[in-house]
Amino acid sequence: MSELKADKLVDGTLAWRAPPPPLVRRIATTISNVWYELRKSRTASIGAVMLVLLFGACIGTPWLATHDPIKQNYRERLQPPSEKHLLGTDRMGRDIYSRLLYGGRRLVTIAVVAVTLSLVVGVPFGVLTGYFGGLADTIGMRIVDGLLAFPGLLLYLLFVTVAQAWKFEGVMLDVVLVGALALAGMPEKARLARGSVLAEKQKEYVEASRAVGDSPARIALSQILPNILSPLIVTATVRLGFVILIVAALSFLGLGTPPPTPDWGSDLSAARDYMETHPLIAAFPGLAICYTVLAFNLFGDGLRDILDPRLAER
Amino acid sequence: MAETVLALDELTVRFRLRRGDLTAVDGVSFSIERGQTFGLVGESGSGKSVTAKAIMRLIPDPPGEIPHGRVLFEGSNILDKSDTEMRALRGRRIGMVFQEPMSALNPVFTVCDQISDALRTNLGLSKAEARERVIELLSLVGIPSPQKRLDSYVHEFSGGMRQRVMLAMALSCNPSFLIADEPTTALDVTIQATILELITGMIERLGMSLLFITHNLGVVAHACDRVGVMYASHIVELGDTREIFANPQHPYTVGLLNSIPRLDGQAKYLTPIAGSVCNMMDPPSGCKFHPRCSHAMDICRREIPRLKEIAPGHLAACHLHDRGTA
Repeated sequence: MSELKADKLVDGTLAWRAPPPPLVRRIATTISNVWYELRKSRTASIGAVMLVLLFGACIGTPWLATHDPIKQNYRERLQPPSEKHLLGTDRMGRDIYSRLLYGGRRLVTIAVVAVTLSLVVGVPFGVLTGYFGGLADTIGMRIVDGLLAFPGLLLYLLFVTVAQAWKFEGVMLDVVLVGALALAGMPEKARLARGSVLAEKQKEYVEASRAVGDSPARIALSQILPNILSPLIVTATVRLGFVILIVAALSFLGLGTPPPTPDWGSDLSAARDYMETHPLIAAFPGLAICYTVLAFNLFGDGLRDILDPRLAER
Repeated sequence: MAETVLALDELTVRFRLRRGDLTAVDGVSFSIERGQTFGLVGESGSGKSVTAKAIMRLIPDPPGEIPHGRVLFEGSNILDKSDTEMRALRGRRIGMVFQEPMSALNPVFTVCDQISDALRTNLGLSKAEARERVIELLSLVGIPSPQKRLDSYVHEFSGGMRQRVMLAMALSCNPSFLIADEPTTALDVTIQATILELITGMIERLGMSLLFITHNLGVVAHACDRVGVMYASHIVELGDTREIFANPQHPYTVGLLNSIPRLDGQAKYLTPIAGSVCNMMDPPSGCKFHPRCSHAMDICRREIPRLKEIAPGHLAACHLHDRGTA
């Protein structure tokens, strides 16, 4: 704090202004602030730690993985965990540890992109229809109702089946899956945003910003939207866990990327045949799915406790 | 003759509700000259705030509508303007200070962001220019060390300070006309006086006109040049502040003045107005005030009295004065 210097005299009081802190310190402050908030809820802090580990593993996959996840080695198939293969090998002799890392990376990416996309489309949609009301609202919400009426799983099955029939492969198949997930997640976000906007637009600050001449779209998106973010963040987080479960379930059913690609769902499915003799092969992908869904759900529930002031003092 | 800034001509605002129509403002006319402060007084629900919102075109439609009347601002009818023209007018030409400084400021933005938002969209200032201007505005409205308070959030301010921020926001784009909708009601008494001083001082300094809405007669006597007294959607008396306080002509105004505590000991007890405000969904026939009026006559039940000039510049809407002139 030795760098404090006196600013000019303002209204007779000496104003002190610290020099702008360097970027590193600013980031550190942000992190410590976030952590301070998170500690209000044990659930959220456990979830946060689990998520940091998860994302760390996803980002660090190329350095953390010990083997090529696709390379088969029949001399080392169905091995128990050892120093060479941390979690053992599967029926093709592939390293389970490396497969889990690569599979998780792909799974988390799909889920994050899908949920982000559904937020990006759904939230402005809900905010604008809610703010303008009238005919726009009626038409918009009927579209949303239509989408909601479609069972999510059916929608994914439809999309993926059609994509497979059209011989989509690899990344293209993932893109279709992301699209289907985003589409199915959109109505929920739109409805939630609209409901919050309906309550929020009655507040006086909205009228005040009309009184200073802001345009309706500007009021809706830059004045109201920041005020209704917390329920959206919570839903999106919980939704992430759900989406991961869905994607894993789809590839468990064989509606994901075909076998050589590491994938928790299809690895789990393939391991079923060895359940009696080598249960660990099935256990690891299963545990990975559990861990990830649990991390998102804990974090989401904890966030809800922190962000909802009505639940705060408990 | 001074230039007229704002003139209301038979302004009527009606709300179409499920239970029926409600006329919140009925044939209200008054005008405000440049540099003048006009006070609009009345009980809760008498239509003061709706009048202000109609001037800003902030009446939600539906359910609100303006079946007839004109709002002439600097000579042109505001009600004929397009939404885009209206947006250009709000903030830049007409500023508005709201009643609740607690809820009229957006809780997720810092004070600087909030005020500079209007500056940047309306006047096209750069971020740095807007920041300089915000500092200027905040010191203008008497916020000590504005540099330090600039990046605070609204919840870090006290009520009086928030009202100062509101005022700074309303003044930010140099409007020529300011509407203050009960700016002191939500504040405690000591702060009320300060804010009142501030607003009237500001008006004088910047040569603006002011429409001051309040239910506090003391505030009116202190701040306004002319007064309109509203009762149940009508203006019942209109005139210079001195004239109205010295020589009230409408029984309602007399009643209002009698219900203020006085320091000079003229009356030992306060005389409240009997009864309560009429139900606006089902207003009484004739003069809206007749069920509570001690002078009520037959004609009061039948005919709505028109505003008539009793003395130069002093108008009242009461049948008692028909008898006098007839």
